[in-house]
Amino acid sequence: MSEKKGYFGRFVRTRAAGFYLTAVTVILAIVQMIVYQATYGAGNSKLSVYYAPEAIILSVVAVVLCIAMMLCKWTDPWAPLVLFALEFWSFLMFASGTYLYLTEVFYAGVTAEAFGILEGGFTLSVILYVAILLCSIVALFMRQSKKEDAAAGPSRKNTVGGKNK
Amino acid sequence: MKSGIKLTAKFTVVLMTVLFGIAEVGTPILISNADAINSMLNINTQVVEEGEAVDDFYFKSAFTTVAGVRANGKAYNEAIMAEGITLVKNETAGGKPSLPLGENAKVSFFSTSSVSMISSGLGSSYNETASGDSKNDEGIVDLKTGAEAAGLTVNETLWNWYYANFTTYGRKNPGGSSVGAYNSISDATWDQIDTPAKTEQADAAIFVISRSGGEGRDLAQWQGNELSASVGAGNNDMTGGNYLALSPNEADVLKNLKLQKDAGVFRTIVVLMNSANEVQCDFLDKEEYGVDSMLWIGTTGSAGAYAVGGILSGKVNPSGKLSDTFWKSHALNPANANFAANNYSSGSLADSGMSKGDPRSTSARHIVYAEGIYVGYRYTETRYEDAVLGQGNAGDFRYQDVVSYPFGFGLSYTTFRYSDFSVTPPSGGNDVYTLSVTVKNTGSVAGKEAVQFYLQKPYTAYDKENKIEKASVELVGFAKTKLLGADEQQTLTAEIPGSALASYDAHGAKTYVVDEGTYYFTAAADAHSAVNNILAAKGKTTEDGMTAEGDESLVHSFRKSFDKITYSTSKEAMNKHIKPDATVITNQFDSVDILTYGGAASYGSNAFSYLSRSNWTEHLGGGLFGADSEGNRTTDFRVTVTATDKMYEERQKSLTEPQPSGTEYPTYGKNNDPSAEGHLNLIDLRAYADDDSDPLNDEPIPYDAPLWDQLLDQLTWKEQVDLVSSGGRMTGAIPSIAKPATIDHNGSTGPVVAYGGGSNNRGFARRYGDVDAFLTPCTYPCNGIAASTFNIDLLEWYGKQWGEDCAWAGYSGLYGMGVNTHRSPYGGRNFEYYSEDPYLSGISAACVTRGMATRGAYVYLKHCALNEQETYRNGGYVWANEQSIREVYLKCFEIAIEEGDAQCVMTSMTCMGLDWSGQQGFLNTVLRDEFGMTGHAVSDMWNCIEGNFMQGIFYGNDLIDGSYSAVDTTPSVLDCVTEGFTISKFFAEAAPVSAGGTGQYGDFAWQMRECVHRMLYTVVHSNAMNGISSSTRILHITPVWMAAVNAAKIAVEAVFAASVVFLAVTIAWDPVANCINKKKEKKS
Repeated sequence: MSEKKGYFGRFVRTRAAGFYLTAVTVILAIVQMIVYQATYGAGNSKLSVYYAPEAIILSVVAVVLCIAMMLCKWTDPWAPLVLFALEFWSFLMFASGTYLYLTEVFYAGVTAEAFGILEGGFTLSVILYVAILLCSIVALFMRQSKKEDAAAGPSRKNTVGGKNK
Repeated sequence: MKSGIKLTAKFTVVLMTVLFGIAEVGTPILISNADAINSMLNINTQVVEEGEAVDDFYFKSAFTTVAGVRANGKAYNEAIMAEGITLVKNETAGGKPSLPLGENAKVSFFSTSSVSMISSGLGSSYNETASGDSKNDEGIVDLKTGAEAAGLTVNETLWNWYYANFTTYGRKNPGGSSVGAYNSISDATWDQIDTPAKTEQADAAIFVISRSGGEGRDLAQWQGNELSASVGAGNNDMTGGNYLALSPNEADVLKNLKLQKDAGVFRTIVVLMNSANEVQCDFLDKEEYGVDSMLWIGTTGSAGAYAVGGILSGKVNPSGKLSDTFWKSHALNPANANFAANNYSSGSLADSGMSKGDPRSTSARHIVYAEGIYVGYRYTETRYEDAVLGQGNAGDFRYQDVVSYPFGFGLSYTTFRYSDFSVTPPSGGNDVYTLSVTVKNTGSVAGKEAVQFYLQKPYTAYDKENKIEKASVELVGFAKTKLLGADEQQTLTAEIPGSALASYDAHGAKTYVVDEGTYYFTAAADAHSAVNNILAAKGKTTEDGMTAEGDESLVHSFRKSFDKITYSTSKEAMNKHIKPDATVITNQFDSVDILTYGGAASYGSNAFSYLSRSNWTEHLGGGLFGADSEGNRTTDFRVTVTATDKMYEERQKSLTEPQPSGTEYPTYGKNNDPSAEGHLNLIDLRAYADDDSDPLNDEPIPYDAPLWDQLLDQLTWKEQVDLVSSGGRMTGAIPSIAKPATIDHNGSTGPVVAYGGGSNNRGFARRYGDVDAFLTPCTYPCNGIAASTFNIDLLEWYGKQWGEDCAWAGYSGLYGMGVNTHRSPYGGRNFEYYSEDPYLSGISAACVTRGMATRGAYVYLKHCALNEQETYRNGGYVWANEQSIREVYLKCFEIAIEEGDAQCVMTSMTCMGLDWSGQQGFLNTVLRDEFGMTGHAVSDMWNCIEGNFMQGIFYGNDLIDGSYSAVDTTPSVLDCVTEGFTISKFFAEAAPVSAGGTGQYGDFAWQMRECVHRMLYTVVHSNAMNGISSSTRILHITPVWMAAVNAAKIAVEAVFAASVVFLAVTIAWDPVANCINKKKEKKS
């Protein structure tokens, strides 16, 4: 038990800010899946004809792979990259499925009124996708874990100029 | 590895992932929509190398410049308005008629609509340079300019106030988009008009009521229905959520105008109804508003304001007659009980109605034309006659409480008297009744009069037994006088075919029958006068409840015996060389009648009765179809459909692809090479060569000539597939037979794109390099106004003008005219359609079509069929009985095809019964075999259709408005076909063995060949062949952007692959290096 606790504690201690941002991004991805499924997947929704199941499948794969990679110290730096790449593909599947919906809404021109009748589910999905992609890119360039000794020790003396060698 | 390299790898992969994804997803979308993109960007995809006879312009223009064509268009715009504007009320005010005002009169225009008069409907038939109103477009002549040109003086201060305050008080979003176009009437109250100019002395206060309509949405009917809830509720400016009622603010201004009139500020109050959708007229007779006169001006087009000014001043004497009934309250119109916004489940306003091919789906929408044939005056006049005659349990029906102005009604500044009505029966094998009447101008002002000829058929026991309905009168002919001076007279005649006497018997004889009984012809000024004339001939007077005395001298009656043979066959197709034998006419729409799915348990429980004059009250639920005597809506009388498993099963059958057959394939590719001996080009099929130097005099090669088989044998499978696969506002080129690509484009009220616009444009504007090629044709009025002219000659000249517009703009085909029926005033696209009456619609369209044909332009009559509403047009299931389909909704198509030789149609997005209209079957069996349509049918917008396009080809929908490559990626369409089915796969599988296919789809191959035949036959007789001779060559060119897109995709894929390798090396570098280092350390 204490061993487990120790491992968990060390794991948490060694996580850097990038890890937490990646985790938030994963949560956003899960929320996005729920929103998309609820608004596009439902049988009686007008958006359901534009539903692209590939978008959901890719998101699921992205979340599972990302979580798995986050838990492994060799792969955790690349977890956000995998998340980004797959979520981006998911977004493209979403877009290719739904662009005809936009042609319907903006049939006679891009106007304020036309924006007004956009479905909430569509708008929320787009916002979430954009957030996921932005967060995953930022997380990609952030450190996912601290060095063991840096996490344990009080000082940054082991580094030169405050940076890891 | 250095962190900089890792960073670079990350950057590169992120960047390339984005680019790669965009390339992989975007490229197919772009390529599959290439035709639409090329068309939009005016990118040419063909080079026409004209041969020796470059002057072979089979269709010549009367003009030499765009400016000339455009100016002529404006002149016709004004002429149509001058004869179409209808004066419906003209009381005495200040000791003389309210109108005309006389030259030099001073007028004050009221309402924000006065400064932003609506010139056009919105959507695909909306002219791209027009904003839809006179304020926002310099090309649209405004009311002030029109009035001043007619000599009137305008209260300029008041005009300027409205103009300056339009943003605050004007309707919102009057133009630019059909979506939300009519979300607010707005307008200022009397107190908000904060200028003393509102009480400035003037001869007339002219109050303008405008309502806009457009594609994609019907108008709000009442508070609480879907449309008013989403569109009007936030604005709180509609009375009861009814967009076609006077709004509270409008009422407030009118009441105050009445007070000013009483105080002597104005002599008279004039209303201009500026809308293709008539506003209900209950307010006109209310004392509190004091309206003395009203003109219905429809939507005005570019120059219609000149005609408005002319009629106001008296320079022009109005002669228009209403093309629709004007109701006191639209709630009294039985069609509205089952129109548009009646939701059959809890869908949202913008719900597309898509049901994924399942009629039982909660998103499926079912619309029942429950009123049967009783549309517009067919209801009001029939129930009126029954009320007078005391038959049919007509109930508490007071005509005066229901109708403000009947169909065909219109006043003049002079008066006319009809006399010497006579009918010459058919003789000598010519099955035509010749009607004539003399019209005399009994007033002092020169004017024109449109005389209407109506027919009454007997309503017999046979009819009741077989559920045949008969309207009390039907318009069967009309004619208009020349401009008659005072005391001048003219005799008008009309020829009525004997077939007009027949009615469709869907249950007994299952064909057209002439009933035994007494028939009546009458000449009348409007539909109501026609009924009164006939009632007078039956001995009735006002004491029997008639609204006015009739004139029995204008009635001719005769008896006929029962006949179910004479009109049970059609010779139209035979006469046009489509079929060798006459077609037997019998039921084709049983599957569209919801009662087919009633009664038997396996079919469902749709026990329902269409409206019948056998017992009005019973069928109207004891009242007026959900309205009280004041015209307020009280109860919902919509018909609810029970969609059953049986319906689902039958729907699924229609969604499967065509099945294999053992039929032998036609010949492909014989002499395909242009240099081969005996090779034909398309132009060789236009006409037989003769010694005459005028190609227009050549004898056309008929549709069934063997030469066509020779040409079709030349085409390869791929060429045929390519032709039927791409029809987004065009037909494709076939270089091997020198068939050029054509531009076939919107719209229903005239061409909508610039004269020089469109890819592959070979119109006169581009040919001559005209400096005004960037301009669009003039905006024309709504088609309801054109129909109101009741002037056949004018309409044909109008068509010639549209033909000129087409020829100069490079259009060969026009996606119009709209000939759907004004089933309800709330139809969003009513501005594209002519009338509630199929005869008037059909004749109007026929005239315009004939005119256009003289300039080589063919029309696609649309939307065929049962597309009378915008709501749920995308795949909604429309149910109607066979008699109403044939006698009302298809009649206008029939007349335009038979009388106007209209060649093509656009099918509707709706399902007729369970099948998408393009695969319902009637295109071949009715339009072609019965009516004799020679050309092709194009679908409406492909991504809004729930159907199987391959079945469409099988059943005569030759082309789609889009391309099949796009269909294969359209989820809504793919939801409706067998899983895994794609059109590209089907074409590959259906190909003959010689083209790499299975060779198992011979039946389909023959049907597709016939599609090609029809398209080529249409094009070869059009202006597309201008300048093309036997030596012309057509070369296909791939646009630069398409080559660039494909090249960019390959480049991105290569760089992406490299970046992935780079990343992999980066990831693997450190562990591998560590491992090697450890081994080295161990060794050392």
